[in-house]
Amino acid sequence: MMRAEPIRSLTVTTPVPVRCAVAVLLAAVVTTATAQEQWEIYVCTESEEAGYRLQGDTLARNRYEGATFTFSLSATDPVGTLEEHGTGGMLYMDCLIPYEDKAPTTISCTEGAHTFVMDLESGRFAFSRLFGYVFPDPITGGPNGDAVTVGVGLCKPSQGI
Amino acid sequence: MSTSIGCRCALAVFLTAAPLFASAAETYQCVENDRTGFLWNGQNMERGRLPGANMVLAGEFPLEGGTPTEAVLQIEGIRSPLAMGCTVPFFGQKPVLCTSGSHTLVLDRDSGRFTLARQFGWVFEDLHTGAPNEDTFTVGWGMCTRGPGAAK
Repeated sequence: MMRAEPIRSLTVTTPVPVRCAVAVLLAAVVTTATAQEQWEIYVCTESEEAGYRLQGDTLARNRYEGATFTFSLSATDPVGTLEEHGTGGMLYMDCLIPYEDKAPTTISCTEGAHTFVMDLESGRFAFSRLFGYVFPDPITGGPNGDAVTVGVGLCKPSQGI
Repeated sequence: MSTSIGCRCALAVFLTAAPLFASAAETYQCVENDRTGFLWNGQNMERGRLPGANMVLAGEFPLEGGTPTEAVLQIEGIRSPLAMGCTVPFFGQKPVLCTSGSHTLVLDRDSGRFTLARQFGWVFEDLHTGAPNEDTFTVGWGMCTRGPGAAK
């Protein structure tokens, strides 16, 4: 009785470079599809920023330049990242929907002393940086000299990854 | 004398680790010295200064890397108290960050220094018109003192 040709004999005849190319292509497709499925990406421009800088032991009002950054929100987990353009600084944030019944499209993400609040439909956002003043200076033990600010602006969905 | 080595080891581990997971019930009376940010002028939002407010922060506070806790912030002049989740943002440091999602307060429980961001205005939609709501949108700073009574 004749035995069927084993399937693996077909693969053995495929040249190694072709198999490598197919594997790389498949990996790229899967990675891209996963990234597109799991992250919503926005480019955000902070048009105004106001706050304080340390002056002696007190805080003086000051005006600041707003920043531009990329905000990525996971579609599967309550996390996001915020990457500031120019500096490359990256924040890994925990996110929640604070008023799910009344404002289901507004998220609030926190990392350290930063809070980023954004309405996903309109793109309006508010970004606070509260590290300054409160945390003790490691040398003096007094208020640290970082700024305390709040900024406002708009995010737009990114056109591509 | 009769305590076994195993029991003593377990007790030592517990006493070492307990502060990391414990929390403290406290009440703070806070005075906001100044507040700056953005307010509405007709259809436009513009930079401005606002008077600070008195407030009371009460609840459980995590200790240096402990598990998140819950507290309530009552700002004078605002009807509803804000329910907040509190964490220690930087392991090994004492300042706590409490947020309701729209309001975020950072407090150094040793010195009493605090900052408060109000991020409700502008971002959230007005429930009736669907336009940006006209709450102010600010950051403020001040000092808290630990109150006489512990919160429940």
